[in-house]
Amino acid sequence: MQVDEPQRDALADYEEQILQWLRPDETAGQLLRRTYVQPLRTGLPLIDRFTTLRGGQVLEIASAAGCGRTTALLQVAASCILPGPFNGIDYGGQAAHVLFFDLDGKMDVVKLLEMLDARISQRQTEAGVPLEQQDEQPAMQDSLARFHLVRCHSSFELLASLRTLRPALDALAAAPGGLACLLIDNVAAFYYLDKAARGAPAGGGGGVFAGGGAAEDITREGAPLTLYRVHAAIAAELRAIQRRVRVPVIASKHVLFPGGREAAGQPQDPWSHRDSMMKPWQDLVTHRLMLRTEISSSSSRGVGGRGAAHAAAAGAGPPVRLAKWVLPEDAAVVRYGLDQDGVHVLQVGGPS
Amino acid sequence: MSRVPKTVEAYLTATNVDALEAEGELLPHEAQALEALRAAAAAAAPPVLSGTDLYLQLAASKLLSTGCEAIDEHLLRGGLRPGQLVEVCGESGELAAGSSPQMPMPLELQLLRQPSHSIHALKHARNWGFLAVCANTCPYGPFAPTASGKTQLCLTAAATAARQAKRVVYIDTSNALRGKRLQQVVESLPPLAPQADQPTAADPLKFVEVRRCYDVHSLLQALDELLSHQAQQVQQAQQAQRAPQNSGGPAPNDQQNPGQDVQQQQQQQQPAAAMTAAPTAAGGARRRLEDLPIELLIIDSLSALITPVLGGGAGQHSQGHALLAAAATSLKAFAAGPGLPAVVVTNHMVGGSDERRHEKRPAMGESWRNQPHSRIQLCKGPPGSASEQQCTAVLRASPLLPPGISVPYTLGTAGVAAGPEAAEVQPQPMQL
Repeated sequence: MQVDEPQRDALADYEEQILQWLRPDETAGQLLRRTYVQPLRTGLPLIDRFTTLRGGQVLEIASAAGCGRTTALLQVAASCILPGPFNGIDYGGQAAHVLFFDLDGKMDVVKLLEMLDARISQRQTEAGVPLEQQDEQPAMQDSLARFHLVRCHSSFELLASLRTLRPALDALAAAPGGLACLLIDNVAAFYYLDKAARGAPAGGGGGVFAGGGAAEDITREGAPLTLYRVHAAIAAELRAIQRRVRVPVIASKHVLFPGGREAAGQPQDPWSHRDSMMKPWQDLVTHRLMLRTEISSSSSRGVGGRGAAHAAAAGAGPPVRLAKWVLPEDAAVVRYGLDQDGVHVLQVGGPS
Repeated sequence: MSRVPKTVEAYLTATNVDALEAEGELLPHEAQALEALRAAAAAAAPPVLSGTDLYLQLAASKLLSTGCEAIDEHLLRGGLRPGQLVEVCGESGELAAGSSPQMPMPLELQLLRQPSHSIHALKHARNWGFLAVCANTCPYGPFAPTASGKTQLCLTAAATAARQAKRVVYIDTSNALRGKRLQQVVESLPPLAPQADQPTAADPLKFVEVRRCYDVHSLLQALDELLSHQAQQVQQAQQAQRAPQNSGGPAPNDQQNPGQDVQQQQQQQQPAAAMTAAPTAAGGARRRLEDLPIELLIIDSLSALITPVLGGGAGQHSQGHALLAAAATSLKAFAAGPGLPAVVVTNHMVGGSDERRHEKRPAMGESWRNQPHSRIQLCKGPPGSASEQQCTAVLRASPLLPPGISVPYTLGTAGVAAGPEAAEVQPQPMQL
């Protein structure tokens, strides 16, 4: 009898443990509630009609100058920071915070204010408020409080702010509305400056491209910020941020080496270009959208912006703006227009 | 081998710091080092501005006029915005074959009929004293037949700002600025209506500080000095106000070329920022000029410095793009700094020829096209044709307006002024 007692207790323990292990931890509903991240409604029909962005994804919008990249990013920001129902009127926004890294220095506050103003007054008119009673200020101030801007004038400042902003990002994500997305204007802004920096002096294989190697190499004293190291560090920081806070990142990129060249003489793919970003950044990007501007007359020589904008002096036709999804690959070419309210889609065409 | 990085750059690019921090098994000196690195990175990080701060900044800023109401109103939406970089491009003066100039041409342009791209070489040659004879031939500035008036626009903007007692820094790279011409523009501008909140300068030329930079490195050095001066002003503003003193004034900070003749030196001293004992009209506490924040920075012909170093080919100019990028970033960093100055930069046109005028494009290429906030092109009809006197300013790029809007303007003794038909003619887009 006494020999069986402890054995029976041990068996009961084991049974208990097995039953415990077999019981479900949580239901599917609880799991979704814990891990589900709202997809981002960017408010940019170029993106929304094709795909939705979720946390952890990185969209790169690449184009030559003058195609509307900064306007597109501001449009996304405006859609995110507008409130939902506010003072009785639904403004259709997400009332979420947005962090904008301005590396180019071209973020214009007046443009953002105009976009917000246009949308707010349109919603108020739709809700039936007569024109003389429309007051955009409360909704505008409410939206502006959710817009955050960081101006960086060098890669060093960008890396320093990415590193230092981690607690601030946590605070924004925990705020009501949450953090909708990170916007970076022109990741290729400091390309030439970083390329001019020389690699670590002794050992390490020399040169700009050998810097991403062993960890001891990087901790060597006086390691400057070369192009490869900067892009690797930016990619690593963004990945770390996305692990903590599940947000999508939308980055614009200025295409420095447009593909079409007049002197070549052979037909080249107008959408091809030599990428100025290094491999760590390219591995981080999950979606790519390319924008292009063409002049619709026969006197245009070459594409990619070099002949395009300046042939306008000849009185050529209006510029034709085209967009194409490169990653994931889509053959359709979309015509879009730029106006006060931002980017809007004109026509979806076949492959060109 | 120490696990903790030794420099801030290494700390920012290191891959093992997160793991180190998470482990928590750091020796005390390592923890201290990490803490110091973190503090240094936090000090270097730019501040996060919220939309409300930006709105308040915008509400407190005032637009600067270029002096030409047509350009202000239709192309710039009110004037030069503080914190923005505006590029003015246009053709340089060129002597076309067979044309009879209406204004007396400087002797050097008559002696050497050169194509337009070496006008800058000519001007540089004048700097070195080789053609020093002609400095006084045309004291009111040569109005070459094809010159579109970029320097005149800069002079008008500087004169308008200086009249309102705003500090202007004028970086002149091709000796196009003459004290007498600036004086003439100041005197010819329409009289200012006195306003309560706007002080009027008794001697506007004192507020224009001229610096001469003849190569891109001295330009970068000048921009660095301006940036550090801005940072200093922020520090000083945080300290207590000093009592106004009647100091003798330090010598102007000009980049003097040893080869210049004395006459040009004297002309430089006149508009330079020397504080003399003359009483100012404002009364009250007299402030030193160095304490005023810079409100307008003008670089006449940035392209004259950059285009020689840009361009392909091996050799010493492979860093051209880096120098251009460094200049552009310094300019925008200066414009975004406290005080929010407005920055104006001029550019010339390259490519094409007299017959194929429409193929001319602004210099400095594709990598510069992205940098300025707004771009304005000044066009003048080809000499000898019916449209010679028609000058139009065209908007090439702007964050707020669609490109292609054009307005007429005229060149005269008061610099750039609105065109005669500006009242009737609506600004028309050149393309749909």
